[in-house]
Amino acid sequence: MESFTFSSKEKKYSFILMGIGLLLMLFGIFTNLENPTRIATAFMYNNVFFLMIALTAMFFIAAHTVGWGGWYILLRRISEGMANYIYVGAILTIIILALGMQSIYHWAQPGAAAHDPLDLLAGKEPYLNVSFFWIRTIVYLALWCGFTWLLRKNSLQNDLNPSIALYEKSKVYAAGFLFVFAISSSTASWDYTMSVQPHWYSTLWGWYNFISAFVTSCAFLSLFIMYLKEQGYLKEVTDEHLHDVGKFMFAFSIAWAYLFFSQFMLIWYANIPEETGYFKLRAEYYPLTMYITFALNFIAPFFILITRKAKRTYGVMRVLACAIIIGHWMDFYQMMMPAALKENHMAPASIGALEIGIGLLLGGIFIYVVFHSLSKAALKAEGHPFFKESVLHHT
Amino acid sequence: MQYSSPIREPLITGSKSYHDITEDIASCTEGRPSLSWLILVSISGVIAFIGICCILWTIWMGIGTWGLNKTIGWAWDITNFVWWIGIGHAGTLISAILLLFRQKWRTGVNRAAEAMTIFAVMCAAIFPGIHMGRIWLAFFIFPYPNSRGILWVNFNSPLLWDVFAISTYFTVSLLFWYSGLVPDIATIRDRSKGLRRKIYSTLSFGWTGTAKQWQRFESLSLILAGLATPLVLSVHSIVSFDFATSVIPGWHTTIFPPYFVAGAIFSGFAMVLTLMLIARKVMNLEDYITIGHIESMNKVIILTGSIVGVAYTTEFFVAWYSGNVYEQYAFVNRAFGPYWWAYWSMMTCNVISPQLFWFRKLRRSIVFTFVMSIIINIGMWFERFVIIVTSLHRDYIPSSWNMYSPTWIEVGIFVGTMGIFMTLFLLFSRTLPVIAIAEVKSILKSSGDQYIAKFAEMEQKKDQYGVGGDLAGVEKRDAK
Repeated sequence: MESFTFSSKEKKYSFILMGIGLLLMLFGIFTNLENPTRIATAFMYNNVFFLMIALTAMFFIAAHTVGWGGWYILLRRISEGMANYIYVGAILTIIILALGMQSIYHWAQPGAAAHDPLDLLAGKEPYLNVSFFWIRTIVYLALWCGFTWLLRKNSLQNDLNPSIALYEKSKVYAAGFLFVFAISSSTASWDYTMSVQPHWYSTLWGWYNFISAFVTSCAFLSLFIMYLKEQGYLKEVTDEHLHDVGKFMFAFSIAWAYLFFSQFMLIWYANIPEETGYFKLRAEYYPLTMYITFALNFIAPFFILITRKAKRTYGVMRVLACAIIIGHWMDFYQMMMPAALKENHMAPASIGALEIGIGLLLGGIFIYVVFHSLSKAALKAEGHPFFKESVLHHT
Repeated sequence: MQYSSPIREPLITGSKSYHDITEDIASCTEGRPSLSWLILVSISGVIAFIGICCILWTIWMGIGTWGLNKTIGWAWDITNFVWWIGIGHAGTLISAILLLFRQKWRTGVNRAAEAMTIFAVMCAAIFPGIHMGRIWLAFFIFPYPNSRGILWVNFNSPLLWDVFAISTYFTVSLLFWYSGLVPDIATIRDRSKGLRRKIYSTLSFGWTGTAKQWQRFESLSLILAGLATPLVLSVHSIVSFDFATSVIPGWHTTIFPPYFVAGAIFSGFAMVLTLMLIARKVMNLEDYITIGHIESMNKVIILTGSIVGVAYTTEFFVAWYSGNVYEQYAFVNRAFGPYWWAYWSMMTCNVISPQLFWFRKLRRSIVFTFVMSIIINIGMWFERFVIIVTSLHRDYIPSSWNMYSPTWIEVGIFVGTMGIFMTLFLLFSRTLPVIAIAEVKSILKSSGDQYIAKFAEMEQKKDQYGVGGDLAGVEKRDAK
């Protein structure tokens, strides 16, 4: 049974990553002390970004489980490791919201509804109020953590004692998670990223957030596969598996562009002021972020990953995976930061040491969690009934 | 080496050999048609005839024969159009997207689903065609260089995008369907004599099944799958733009494109199930369209049905959340206004009842699946009716508020398209193989029941050989 050792070198590098992040973050905090909105929002969007990646890694496992997918079993432990970040993300969410909710969310400030110039917030109060927001947060986090724990436990039990009964049970857990996630991914997106601009609304928002996180999750998965392969692990994982992950990255980059375009085009075409505000703000003050995001998230993956060879070449896949991660990280930035600053009457800012620092810090923790989880269990879920299908996988 | 886990359900039962597959499927097109087929084709032919009469009456008399008024300027025609286009989505999803996802069960149903797609798109195209009023001027929708001056197509209009989207979709679907048929047509040709042989010989384009031909065939199907995949999404997205680009409350919402696509796949699978549950019984194809196939399709139904359910809820919630009073009114009016029965039919049929498919027993019940497939098609028809008519009938000025009910001509046309659809499908089922013979053969050695049993046998000797080794061992033993 193959097992992964979290070497001291790897530990050192993940700590270095966290350290650099921490330094940049502290620098960013001290240079932005007068702007608590920017500090709190930078924490929140980075946290939502990594939390959603972990959740979509869970989604990856759950969707394959209920769909009887066999090919991914060799990669399953990596996805489980990514999903294990949900616990860290849950704690961070609570801390950030406890400390910074009012700095990020304009509607959460006392008297916001009474002084709303558009007189709309009062109508939204049954949903957008601090206590209900907390209740929802706790319910999401409890459900997400609970299902992650159940599915991981089931998977580990199956290593020791492989049985069809456990496999059948995993399908029940996976279906339960999908049901919960189908609803909570949308509502959580309204809460965490859409309510930053409480006057604005878009029905597509939840799915747009989901796709953005899912494609990033696939990009991280491919990076971990390539890293482990290069360290001599996972001999059975071939180019076929990487190719399939590459297809996911390619297809869901297009899906992201499709949702981006649908949302943008419909709002642009109808030209209703309460909706166009979203794009106007970003196009006016953050044009570069918008264009770079579109280039990294759609143009690059589309034109480069379209060939079969690209999806089987480590160098290309690595560059594209990084492009997708950076692109969607910027996408989450532009979902939250411009509106948070505007709603709280702050000048537009650009991505700086603060945002990058927190990104690196959380990224370092994320990598640490994944490697730590990998080292805690067998690297391959050999007891899974589809394990051999995954080993014999070819196109 | 093809391998499937022994816990997988076989997709071909009855220990079929390659020859049995050819016999079972090709024989459906041979011999005299059965009495039941003749009865069915005459009934649907009569219905189609009634529909054609109503269409001709509309063309002769004008759109005044319909129940439209100045507030509700389109109703049944566009409802039926979207309904049929939606049904046409399952075929391409099964043949393209499920091909890319390597779902082996698609081979049992892809041929019939693709044929259904083509017939459904043909039925759909009738509605905007006759709604133009002067169908002899239909060529105006094509942006060819003309001398009409300002009478030029409007490139800003989603209705024009629809013309391009649907004609592209139809063309690619037809090519995909036909190119997949070529090897099977050649199989039928090889089994027939005389004039029949001549006809099938022409249709098979001289297919002989050489390695080179297969190689080209495989590349072509991958390219067509790659082209068809974005088309599955784009067609219904653009259909949704017809509504969503407007500023009508209830129409203008950003979730429309993906939600229309999910709804289209939902209704398409329901129609595939309706047809295939009958076909497998009448044509004795139970070994190729197994309960496992039905269960897989029901899973797609519960997935897409739930997506649609999430979309309905999202729309309703955001209408409230937006604080826009017109938006709020439109949705409350949908649920509790004069068309409440349409709204609740839609909710029951599309969101609530498909949730019963969470139970494995029901997913695998043929009777229940058949009833559900009809219910879903009714529900999806109501969905379009709700979106279109309830959003229009309360105009901005209360003096323009109006109600809509169809005339018997409109009902006749709609029912008639079902007759046209069924007639075409029945003709197809007698002349071409309803199951893709070559594709089913390609999964026999991984998913045939006798092979799955063999994998299970090997699995028990796992400790002896380890991964891979045992497989080679059994192959050798079989060769002896």
